[in-house]
Amino acid sequence: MSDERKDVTPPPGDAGEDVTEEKHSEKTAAESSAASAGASAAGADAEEQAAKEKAAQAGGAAEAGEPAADAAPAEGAERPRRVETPEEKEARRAAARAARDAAKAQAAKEAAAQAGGAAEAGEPAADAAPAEGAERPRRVETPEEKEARRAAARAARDAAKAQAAKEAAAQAGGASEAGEPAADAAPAEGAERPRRVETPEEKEARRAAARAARDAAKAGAGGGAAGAAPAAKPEAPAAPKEPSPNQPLLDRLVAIIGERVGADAVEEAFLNERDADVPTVIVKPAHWRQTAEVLREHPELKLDYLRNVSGVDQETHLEVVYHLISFVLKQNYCFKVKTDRETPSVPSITPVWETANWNEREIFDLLGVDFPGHPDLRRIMMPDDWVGHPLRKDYQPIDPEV
Amino acid sequence: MIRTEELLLNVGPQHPSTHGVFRIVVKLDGEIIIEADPVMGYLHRGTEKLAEELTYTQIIPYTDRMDYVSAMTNNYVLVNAVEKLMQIEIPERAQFLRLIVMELQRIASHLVWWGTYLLDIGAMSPFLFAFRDREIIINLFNELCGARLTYNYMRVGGVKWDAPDGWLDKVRDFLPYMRKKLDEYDTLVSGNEIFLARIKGVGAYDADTAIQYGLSGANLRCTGVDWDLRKAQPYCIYDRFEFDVPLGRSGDCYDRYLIRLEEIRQSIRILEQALEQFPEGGETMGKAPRVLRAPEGEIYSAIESPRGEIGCYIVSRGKDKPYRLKFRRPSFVNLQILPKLLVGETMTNLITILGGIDIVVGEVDC
Amino acid sequence: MKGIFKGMGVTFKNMTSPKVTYAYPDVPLEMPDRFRGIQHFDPDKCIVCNLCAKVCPTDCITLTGKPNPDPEKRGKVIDTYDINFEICILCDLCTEVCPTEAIVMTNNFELASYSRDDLFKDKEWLTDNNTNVRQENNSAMPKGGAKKSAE
Ligand code: SF4
Ligand code: SF4
Repeated sequence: MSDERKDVTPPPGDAGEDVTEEKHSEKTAAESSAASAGASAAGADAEEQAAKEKAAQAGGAAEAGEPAADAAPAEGAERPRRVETPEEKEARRAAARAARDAAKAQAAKEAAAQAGGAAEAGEPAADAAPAEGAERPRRVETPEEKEARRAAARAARDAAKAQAAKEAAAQAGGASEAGEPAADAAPAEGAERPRRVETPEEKEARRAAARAARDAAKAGAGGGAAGAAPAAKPEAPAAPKEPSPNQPLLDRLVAIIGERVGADAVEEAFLNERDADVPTVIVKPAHWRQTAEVLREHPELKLDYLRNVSGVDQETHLEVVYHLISFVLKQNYCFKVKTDRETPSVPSITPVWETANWNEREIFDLLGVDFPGHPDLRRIMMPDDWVGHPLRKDYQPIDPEV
Repeated sequence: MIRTEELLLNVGPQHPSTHGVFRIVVKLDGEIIIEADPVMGYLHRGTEKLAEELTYTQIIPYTDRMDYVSAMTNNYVLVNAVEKLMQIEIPERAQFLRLIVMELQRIASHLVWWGTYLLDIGAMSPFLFAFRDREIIINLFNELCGARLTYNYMRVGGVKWDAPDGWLDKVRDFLPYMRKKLDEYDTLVSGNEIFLARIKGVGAYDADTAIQYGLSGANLRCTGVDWDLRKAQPYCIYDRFEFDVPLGRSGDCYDRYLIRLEEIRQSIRILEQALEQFPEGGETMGKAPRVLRAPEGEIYSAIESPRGEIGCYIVSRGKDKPYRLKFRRPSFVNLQILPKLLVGETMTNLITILGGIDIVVGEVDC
Repeated sequence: MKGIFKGMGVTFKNMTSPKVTYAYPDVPLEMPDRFRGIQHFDPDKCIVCNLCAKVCPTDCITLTGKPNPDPEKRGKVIDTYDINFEICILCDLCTEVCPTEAIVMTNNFELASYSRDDLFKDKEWLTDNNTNVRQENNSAMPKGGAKKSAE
C-alpha cells in the first residue's frame, strides 16, 4: 500500500500551479463552507450524539486516522496525509462499514450522521475548520479519498433505500451542492474559483449527486435539497473512481455503437458497480447482430473473446447476457439483450464468435430463446423430446416423478 | 471397382476413452471421419436450476460435483463470486490455504489427465505412476478436509478447516518428490518415439481459431496466446508469486501435453513460495454474516481452473439464494472445437484429440 | 528407439521400488480424523433446533420432536431422526451447523448394501454408529457458545 502511495505522491509537486490554484479554491471552499459550518458542525454533533457504539467507534476511528478532520483550525498546518494512509483507510473503511450496517438497520439518522462523519474524515475540506493556509495536496489523496467517498456514497445510498427519506434527501441535496460549489450559500468573496482545474471531478460529483438524488427520490423522499452540507461534499467526488477508468470507455462504447449501428441501438448503458464497474450495455435485439460485428472489428474495442453467454429469466422478460473481453486491449465489457417471454428471439452471434454456438443451444434448451441465424439450433442438455424449458422460473415438469 | 460407403459409428456414451458418459456420432468414410456430432447431456443434473433453490453455502458441495477432478477450483469460483458481490474480506491465512489447495489441485488434475491420456493412447504404466503420485495429494486433502474428491472445503469468507498439525510439512515434502517424478515422467514418455508419432501435429489449430472458439487453458495457450487468468486478472493472491505461463507454438496435442506438464512445475514453484510466506497464525474465517444475503446486483467472476477459464455469473435479488447462477464451464466451451478438429482425421486420432482437449464430463453437462 | 529404451529404464527401476497399493478389503483403511463418514447421532444432546435439516442441501434429514417428558424442563426432545443415505452426499454441513454437536461425523464409510431400503437409517441406528467418532468437529466455523456448555 505504502509503495503505491509513493508512486502517487510526486504529481502534486510538479503540478505546482495547480496546487496554488487549488489552495485558493480550497480556502474559498473552506470559507464558503463557513456559512454552512453550522450545518456541518451540527452534522458532527449528530454524529457524536448518535454515538451508539458503532457510530462512536467509526467516528473515533475516522478521527484518529485523520487528525485533520478535527475541528481545530490548524493554521498553516501542513497535513502529512500520505503518511497516514493505511490506518486512515482502515478507519474510514470501518466507519463506512459501520455506516452501512447502521443504515441497513434503519437507523436512518445515525447512518446519515455517520456517513457525514466518514465523509468528513475523507475530505477535510468539508470541515467546519477554516484551516487557513493549509496546504491541501488534494490530488495526492485521491485513492484514499476515493475509498472514503465511495464508502460514504454507498452508505448514503443504503440510507436512502432504508427509508431514511429525509436524511437521504438532505444528503443528496448536499451532494449536489458539493458537486457544484457555486450553489453554496456562502458568498466566498474575492475567492478565485479555479473551476477548470476541478472540472472532471466536479462533473463526477454532479453525476454522483444526481444518482444519489435519484436514489433518494426512489426511496420516496421528495428530493428535498435541504443542503445538509458537508456530508455531501466528499460523497460527491465519490464517483471519480468509477468513471475515471471506465466511464469514458462506456461513453465511447455507446458513441461507437450509436455511430456504427444506429442511434437507437442502445437501450441502456451503465457501469456495473458490483462487478468492478464493468461497462454494461443493453442492446436492442434488432441491432444485436450488427452490433456484435462492430464490437469485434472496431479498433477501439476489438472484443475478440466471448467469455460467457448466460440466459436469465427475469420474469417480466428474458435476457441474454454476454461477457466479452478484448485480448488486445484487455478490457471487459458486458452486453445484454432483452427479449419478451412469449416469443423470445435474439439474433444468433455464432457467425461472429463460435463460442456462442453451444451456449446458445444451451439457452435455447433451458430457457427457450430462439436464435435466428444459428447454424444448428437444437436441444443440447435435455432429451430432444423434452417438454418445456427447465430454467424458466415457472417451469413445471410434466412428469414430476422424473 | 471398389465401392465405398459411409458408415455411421456411435462412440459412447459408455466408452472408456470419453472419460465419462459422453457420446460422439461420427460419420466415417473408411477410416476417415467426415462428420462428428458430439451428444451430451447424459450427466446433466441441472445444477444451475438446483442452485436457485439453495443457499450459497449449500451450493458449494454441488460445485464439487461439476468438475470432480478439480473440486477445489470450483469451490473457489463460487465463493469468490459471492465474496466479491458481498464485499467480504478474506483473512490472510485463508487466502494462503486456498491458494495452496488450488495449486495442489492443479497438479492432481493434470496428473489425472496425463495418466488417462497416455492410457487412451495405449500406454499402461504412466497411468499407474500418475495415480500413485496423485494419491499423495488426495490423501493430503483427505487429511485437510475429510474427503478425497468432493472437498466442500471453502466457505464464503474463508475456509472450513485450518491446516492440521504437520500438514504443511507434508506438502513441503511432497514438492521435491513431485519434481523428481516429473523428470521421470519426461524420461518415460516425452521422448518416446511411438508417443511422439501419435500426437505431434495432431489436432492443430491456430491462435485465431482458438480465440474464435473461446478456448481457454492449455487449449488456448498451446497456440501461443498468453492468457492465464492467474496473471492476466489476478485473483486470490496470485499476484504475489512468481511463476511463468508456459506457451506453445504449433497448437497441436504435443504442445498441450508439454504445457500441462510444465504447469505442474510452475504450480510447484508457486507452492514453494506460498509455503515460505505462509503466515503464522491468524483466522481462517473472515467476518461473514451467518445468513449470506448477497446484495442486489450481478457479477461475473472467473478464475483459471486446470481446464481453463471457469466462471460464475450470479444474478442476485438480495436474497440468500441466487436468482440465477450460471457457470462458465471450460470443458463445455473447449469441447466445441472438437467437431471441427475431427473432420478429416482418422478414427484413432479421435481419441488422441478428444483426450488432448481434457474434458471432464461432469463439467460439460453441469 | 532411444526414447523407448530410456522409458524402459524407468519402468525397470520402478520394479524394485516398494509397493504403494492398499490391501484394502483385507486390511481396513485408516482414515484421518477429519474424514467425513456416516454420521453418529446423540439424542441426548439434540435440542431439536432443526438447523441440520434446514441446511442439508439434499433434504435427506427428517426429524420430529416431542415435548420434554420431564415437566420441569422446557423445550423439546428428539423423537425420530432419520437420514436417507441414498441421497446424503456427506457434505458435512449438518455437523457444521449443529450447535450442540448432537450430529457428528464418524470415520466409518462402508455403506454398501443389496437393498436401497437398507440405506434409510433411523435414530437408533445412527446412535449405535458410535465407533471412530470424529474428534475435531469444527475448526473454523464461528459458532455460538452452546458448544462448550453442552459438554
Ligand atoms: S452430510 Fe450433507 S447431505 Fe448428508 S445429511 Fe448432512 S447435510 Fe445432509
Ligand atoms: S442441528 Fe443438532 S441439535 Fe439441532 S436438530 Fe439437528 S442434530 Fe439436533
